[in-house]
Amino acid sequence: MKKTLIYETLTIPDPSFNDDQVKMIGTWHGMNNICAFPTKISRKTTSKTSVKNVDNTERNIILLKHKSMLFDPKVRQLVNESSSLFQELQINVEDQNKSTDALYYSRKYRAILSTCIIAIERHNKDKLDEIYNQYELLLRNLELIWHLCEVLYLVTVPGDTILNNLLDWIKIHYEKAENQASMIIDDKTAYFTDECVEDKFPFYWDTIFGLVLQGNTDLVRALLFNHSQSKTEPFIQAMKIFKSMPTYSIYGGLPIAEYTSRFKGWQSNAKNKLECGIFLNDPNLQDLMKIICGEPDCTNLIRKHCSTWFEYLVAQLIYTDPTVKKHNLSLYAHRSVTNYYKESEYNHMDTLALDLFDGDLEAFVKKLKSYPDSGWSSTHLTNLLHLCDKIEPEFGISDATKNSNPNEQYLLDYGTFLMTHHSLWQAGITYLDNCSDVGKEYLSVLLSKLGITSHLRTTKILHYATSRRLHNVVSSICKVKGMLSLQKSRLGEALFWAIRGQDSAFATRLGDIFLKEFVSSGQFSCPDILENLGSIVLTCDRFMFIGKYLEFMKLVKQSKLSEASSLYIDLLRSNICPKYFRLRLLLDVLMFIDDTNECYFKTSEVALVTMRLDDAIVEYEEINGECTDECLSDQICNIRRGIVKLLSISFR
Amino acid sequence: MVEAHSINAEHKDLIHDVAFDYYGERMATCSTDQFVKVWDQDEQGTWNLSASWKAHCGSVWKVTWAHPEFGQILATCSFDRTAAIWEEIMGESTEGGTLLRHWVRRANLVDSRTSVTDVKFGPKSFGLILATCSADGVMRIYEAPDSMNLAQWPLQHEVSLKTPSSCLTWNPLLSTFRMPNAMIAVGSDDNSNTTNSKLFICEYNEVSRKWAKTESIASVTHPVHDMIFAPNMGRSFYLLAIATNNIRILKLKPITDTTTGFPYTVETAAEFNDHLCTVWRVAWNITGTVLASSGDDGCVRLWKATIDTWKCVGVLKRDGKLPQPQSKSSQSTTQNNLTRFFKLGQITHPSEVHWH
Repeated sequence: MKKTLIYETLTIPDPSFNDDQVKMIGTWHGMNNICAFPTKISRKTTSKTSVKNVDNTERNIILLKHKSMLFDPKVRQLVNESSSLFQELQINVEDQNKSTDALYYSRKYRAILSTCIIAIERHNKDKLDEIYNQYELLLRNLELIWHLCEVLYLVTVPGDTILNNLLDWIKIHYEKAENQASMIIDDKTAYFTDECVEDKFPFYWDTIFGLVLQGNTDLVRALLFNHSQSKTEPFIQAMKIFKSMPTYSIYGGLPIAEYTSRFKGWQSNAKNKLECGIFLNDPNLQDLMKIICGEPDCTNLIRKHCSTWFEYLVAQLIYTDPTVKKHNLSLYAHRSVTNYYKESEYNHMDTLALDLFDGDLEAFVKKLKSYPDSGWSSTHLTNLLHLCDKIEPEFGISDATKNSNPNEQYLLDYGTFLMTHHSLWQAGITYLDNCSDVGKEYLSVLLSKLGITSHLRTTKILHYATSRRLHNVVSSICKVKGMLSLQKSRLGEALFWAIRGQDSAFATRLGDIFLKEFVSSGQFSCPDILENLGSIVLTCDRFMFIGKYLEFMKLVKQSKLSEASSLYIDLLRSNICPKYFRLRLLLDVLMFIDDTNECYFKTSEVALVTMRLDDAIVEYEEINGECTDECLSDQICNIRRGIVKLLSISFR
Repeated sequence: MVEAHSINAEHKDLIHDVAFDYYGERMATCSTDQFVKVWDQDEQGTWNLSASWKAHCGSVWKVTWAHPEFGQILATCSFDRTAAIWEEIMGESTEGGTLLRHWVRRANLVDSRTSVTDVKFGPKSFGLILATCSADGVMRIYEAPDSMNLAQWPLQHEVSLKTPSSCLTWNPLLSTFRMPNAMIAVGSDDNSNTTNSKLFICEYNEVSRKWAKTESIASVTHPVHDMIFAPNMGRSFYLLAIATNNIRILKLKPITDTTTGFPYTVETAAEFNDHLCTVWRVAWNITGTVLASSGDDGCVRLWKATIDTWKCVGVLKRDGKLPQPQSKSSQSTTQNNLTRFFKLGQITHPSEVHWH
C-alpha cells in the first residue's frame, strides 16, 4: 500500500540563517499565518550589550501564508455556492414534512463542482498555467470519486445489480471514445467520397475498442457501418452480434436468471462464429470478438485500452459478470487494481475508490479528509452521508461527551478555515452555525478577530454577531472602534460607537471629555450628535446630565427663562452633575439676572443654590488642596454676588 | 502552497521577540539593540515600519500587546530591570494628510532588582492588568485602576518563587466555570541541575484578595523556557504547552467538588522529543488546535490534536542559502531592499502542509 506521509517539511531559505548558531523561532499571527524570526539563544545574564562594530547581519522576519486552492478567485464560486446548498440541505433535514433526497443534493453538489471545473477550463484554455492544470485535475478526480460514492451508496438499485450504474459513471468521466466516435460519424465527406474512414481517422479502432469497453454497442455498430469493408461478411456478422446483445434493464421485467441464460446463449453464439474463423481476416475484429466473448486471455488487451483501473474493472464486468451484485464488487476491484498496476504503489485516489468498493465508508471519509481541497469534499460529503444515515455518527470518537459528532468536527475545521479568509468568512459562518455550542464559541472568537478596518465589513460583522446574540462580540468590537476613534481625537465618532455598543462606562468617559472641553472652551464639539443621543441618556448618567444641560442651554437661548430655571433647579437637586462641572453649572445662575428684575427662583431654591456652592467649594479644596487660583475665586465671588441679587429679587 | 514574505527587521542586534496585535495587522519587534519597532500592514498586505524607538537601557526581552479595547498599548520588559507601558499617540496630521504616530512611555515599572524576563497582559475581563516575572524569581501584578489613565500602574501583588523565572502565562476563561480564579503559570529556567519543580501555578484568592503560589508541578524538572495556555474555545479544561527539554502539553481539569487544596487535576496530555534537544518557544494558533514549537535544532514543528492524540502536521526548516531565482520549486522577486516575496512549493498533493 501507499506510504503515507505524516507531515510535510518546508524549507525556509533566508540569509538570516546563514550562521548555524541562529535558531528559527516560530509564532502564529493573525488567523492562520506563521511568522518565523531568527535569533540566537544565549544565557540572559551575560548579554549586556557592548557597543560592537557596526553589525551588518541581515535579520529578516519571515511571514508565511497558507494559500489554498479554495482561495483562488476561480474556485471561490465553488465555496460560495456549496455553502448555500449546504444551508439549504440543513434546513431541509430539519423540516419533518420533507424527506431528504440525498441523491438530489449529491447531484447538485456535483453540478457545482463541474461548473467550477468548466470555469477553470475556460480560463486556462491553453493549459499553460500549471497551477490551474493541477486545480482542474484535483477537482476532476474529486468529481469522479464523489460520483462513484453516489452511484454505490445513494442510488437505490433493486436487486443490487450495479453494472448499469457503474457504466453511467464511467461514461460520464471517460468520454474520449464517445467524442471521437461522433467526430467520425459526423464526418460526411468520407461517406460521399470513396475515402476509407479507418484510414482517415487513425484512432478509428481505438475508438471502437473504447466504446466496446463501455458497453456502448449502438455506437460501435454505427462506426462499423462506416467502415469501408462494412459490406463484407465479417463486418455484417459482427454488427449482427452487437445488435443481438441482450441488455439488462431493471425495469425490463426480465428476471436475472432469464437474462443470464440469454446472455450466455448470445455469448456462445458469438464464440461459435469466432471459432469458425469468420473474423480471422481482420485482426481488430478478431480482438473485438474475443473481448465480448469474455475470453480470459484478453485481459491484457483490455488493459491496453483503459486509462485507469476504474475503466478496466467495469470493462471486464460487462462481458464476464453483467449482473454483478454490489457486495461482490470488492473482490473484483481488488483483482482489477492488482492486475492493472505493475507495482503495488497505490495513490490516494486508488485507496479512496477501494474503500468505496469495499463498502468501508468510514475509512473512506477519514481518507477524504486529507484530500488537498482544504476539507471541502470531506465536509460536504460527510455531512450528506451522515444526514442520510449512511454513516454512524459515533465512529472514532473517544471524547464522546464533547463533540458527539465527527461530522461536526469537519464542519468546525472547515468553517474555521473559511473564516480565516478575508472574503470567504461569511461562508464560514454557515458551517459554524451548524455546530451546536462549540460552534458558537468558535464564532464569537473568530468574529471578534476579523479585521475591522473597513466600515462595510465592520457593519457586516456586527450584523452577524447581533443576529446570533453574541452581545459580547458586539460590545467588544464597538469598544475597539471607539478607542481607535478616540485615539484620532474623533470624539463624535467614538460616542457613536459607545452608543452602538450600549457601553455606558465608555460613554461616561466620553461625556467627561465633552464636559471638560466645555469648561475650557465654553462650547461643545459635535453638537449634532449630542442633539440626537437616543437611548444612551437612559443608561448613562453622564449623558443624562449632558442631555438635560443641553436642554437647559437651549431654553436659555430661546429666553424661556422660567422653564429654564425649573430645569436648573432640577439639575442641582438631582445631584447628577459630575464634581468637576459643579462650579461651571453654578456659574450659570448668573444668566437669570437680567434688567427686567423678574423673579425666577423661590427663596428655598436660592438656598439650594447656596448649599451646592458651599459643597462645591469644599470638594474643590479637598481635591486641589488650599491653593485656589485667582480666576476661580473670582468666579466664586461672582456666583455669591449673583445669589445675593437673586435672593433680593425673590424677596420683593 | 505556502507564500513567504520576508521583511528586513533592521534591528542592529539579535531579535528576541515578535508580537502581533489582536488582529494580526500590527507587529512589534524587540531586540538586544534596546529598540522596539512597530510595523503596520497596509491594505495590499505590505508591512511598513511605523515606529522605532529606544525603549530601554538593556536588551529588550519581550514585547506584548494589550487588548485593543484598552487602546493601542504595548508592554516591554528588559535586562535593565524595568518593564514599561507604551501608548501610541496620534498627533496632528501632516501636510500629506497622514496622522503622525508616536509611542510614549506611560509608566516605568521599576520594582524588580534584576532583569525582567517576561511581561503579559491579563485576559481583558480582568481589566487592564499586567504580570511580570524576573530573574530573582518574583512574579508581580500591576493594575491600572482607571483604564483611561495609563500613567497609574500601582504594584498590586508580589509573589516570590525563589527561583529564577523565565516566562509566564495567564489562564484563559473556561466555559464551564462561571468565573474562575485568575491564574498564572510561571516557569523557571534555573539550570543548576536540581530536581525541583520548574513550573509553578499562582492563583488569586477571592477571599484573602491576594495572589499566592498554590502548586508546583513536580513532573517538570528541566529548565522551562516558554509556556502558554491554549485559547479556550469552549473547552472545560486548560491546556498548557511547555517548552523545556522537550515539548509537553499539560491538561488541567477543574475538580468541581473540592474545598481545599489545588482544585485541578494535572495530567500530561502529550510529550514529544522530536526536536531531540531543548525547546525554546511554543505558540498556539487562535483556536488552540495547532501548536508551533521552536527548538534548538532550528526547526519549527507544528502539532495538531485529533481526538486526544497529538501528531506532527508540519515541519519548517531553515536554510541559510537563498534559492536560485530560476529554480523550479521557488520563485523570488525582490521588491525593494526591505521585503522579498517567494513561493515555497507549488504542488498541492494530499500530504502538503495543512496547519489549519
